[in-house]
Amino acid sequence: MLEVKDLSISFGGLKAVDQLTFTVTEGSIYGLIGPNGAGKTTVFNMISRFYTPDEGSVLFIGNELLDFKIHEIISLGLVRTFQNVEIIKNMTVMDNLLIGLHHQMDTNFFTEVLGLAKKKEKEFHKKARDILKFLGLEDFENEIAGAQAYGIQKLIELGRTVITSPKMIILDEPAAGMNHSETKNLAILIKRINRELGITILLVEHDMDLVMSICNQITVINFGKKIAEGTPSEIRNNIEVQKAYLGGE
Amino acid sequence: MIKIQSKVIKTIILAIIVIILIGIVPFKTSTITLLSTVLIYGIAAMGYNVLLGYAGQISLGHAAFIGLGAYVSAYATGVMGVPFLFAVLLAGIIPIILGLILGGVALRLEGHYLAIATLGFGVTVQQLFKVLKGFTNGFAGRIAPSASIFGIKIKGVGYLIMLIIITTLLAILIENILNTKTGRALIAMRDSEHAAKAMGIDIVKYKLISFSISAFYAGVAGSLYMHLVKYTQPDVWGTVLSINILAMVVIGGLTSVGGSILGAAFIVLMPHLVSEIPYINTIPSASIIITGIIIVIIIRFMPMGLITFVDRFKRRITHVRS
Repeated sequence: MLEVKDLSISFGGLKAVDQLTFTVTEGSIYGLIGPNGAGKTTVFNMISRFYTPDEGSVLFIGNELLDFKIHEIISLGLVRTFQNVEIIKNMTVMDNLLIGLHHQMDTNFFTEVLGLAKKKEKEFHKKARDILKFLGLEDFENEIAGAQAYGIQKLIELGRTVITSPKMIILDEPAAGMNHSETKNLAILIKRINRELGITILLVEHDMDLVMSICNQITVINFGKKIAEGTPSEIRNNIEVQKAYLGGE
Repeated sequence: MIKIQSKVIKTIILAIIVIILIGIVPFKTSTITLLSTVLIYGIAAMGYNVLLGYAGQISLGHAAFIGLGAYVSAYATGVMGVPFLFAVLLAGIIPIILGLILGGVALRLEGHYLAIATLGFGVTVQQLFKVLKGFTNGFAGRIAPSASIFGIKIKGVGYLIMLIIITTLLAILIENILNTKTGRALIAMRDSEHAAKAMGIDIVKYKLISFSISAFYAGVAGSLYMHLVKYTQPDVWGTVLSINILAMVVIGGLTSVGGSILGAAFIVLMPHLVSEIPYINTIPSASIIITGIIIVIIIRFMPMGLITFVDRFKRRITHVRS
């Protein structure tokens, strides 16, 4: 579904990502892990077009993503979250979810001006309410998003991706800043999104328990290079990976 | 959505009540002119609020758009003989071109840099008003005929009532935009450009939309000003006016259409009200000094503007009722 091939980028002489290749198959939960500064988020930023790689290609269901602009990616069915939640803090939870429907709204400026878009708005609200229920956030509909606890804000951001009915979601450290029980619930939620909604997941994460418990396939990178690839149990027993994490010789 | 529907009806009812009141109460001519001025600046402030409040873009050269609207309207009606209402529309549309140019600049600049660039833009356009004598008649100034619709001349109370109708209409249109897709996209762009982009919002498009809307409203306001005052010259369209529009929006309430009109009323009426106070009105410039002090106090204690006052009052009423 997603083929990353020979992806490289450098910042001022430092190779942040070096000839990285991996393939995410449809329906899987794929983990991208590595020690701090390994270049994981940089990879995400290249896939979602925030960065333009020096070399390589990113194919998503046959489309070369590098030919698209950032705001066009979502229409292909690929959507992302951010490491430091990027929700619209001054908006209600409902409006934050509706932002996710932006690219699907076929109302235009003139129908809006004349107030003809309101009927359509009702349908959008209904869809958003379904997603809130799915996330267990139905009581927060009219609350201001920025006033919520960090864990809730992360769920709002996740909801904003789910509502777009994507083919694939890429999650940048979904569990960062969450406590133990929140992380557990998150694991269940990600599995449900994957199974019940049939959405492929690619995630970057530091929390090893989370990664090992939900991912089918994992790629480990260090200093921008792939050092291992395999199932969670293969990764756990890989000497290279242990060295990278423990810093041993 | 019933809430928004009733909001439109509420706005219309409010407008009708105000029109009836103005019809009944025998206002002085100066009061009528003053109230007309409030609404004209209110229209400009509404448009500016889309830019500053919703889209988070600053412009310190907004007087250029209002001035252009005024000149376009004066030229169209006075020289070309275009009917009044058509001239108002034209005065809204032509500044959009200028708005798109400034919007283009805003795509490259942010914050302080954008503020300085727009300041320069405003000064440049004002100088152009002085130089382009064929269009503006330079320092001699340009006059405009009184407004007339279908051959009926509209002035005094009639003009004020027409302004109320136009303001109400423009307020409803802008509320419609801001409560749907476009409004959400603008706020998303203001609060997190990254998130907006990732969610499929075309930043270029929406920045240009916000500048266009505000240029249109400014131009219409300029045209309505022109046919109220019937004379203009380049000095009117300077930085002081641009700053005043900014002050109206901040004092009235960012991201509030009603607040924009409230802010306009404050900036226009306050100096007049203060000059009515005995003793103080004997001190030269006292009204402006006191208005300035009140502005500082409002900003300090009501960061969301005067509209918070109205909202609190409304909440108290609904509270008492229930």
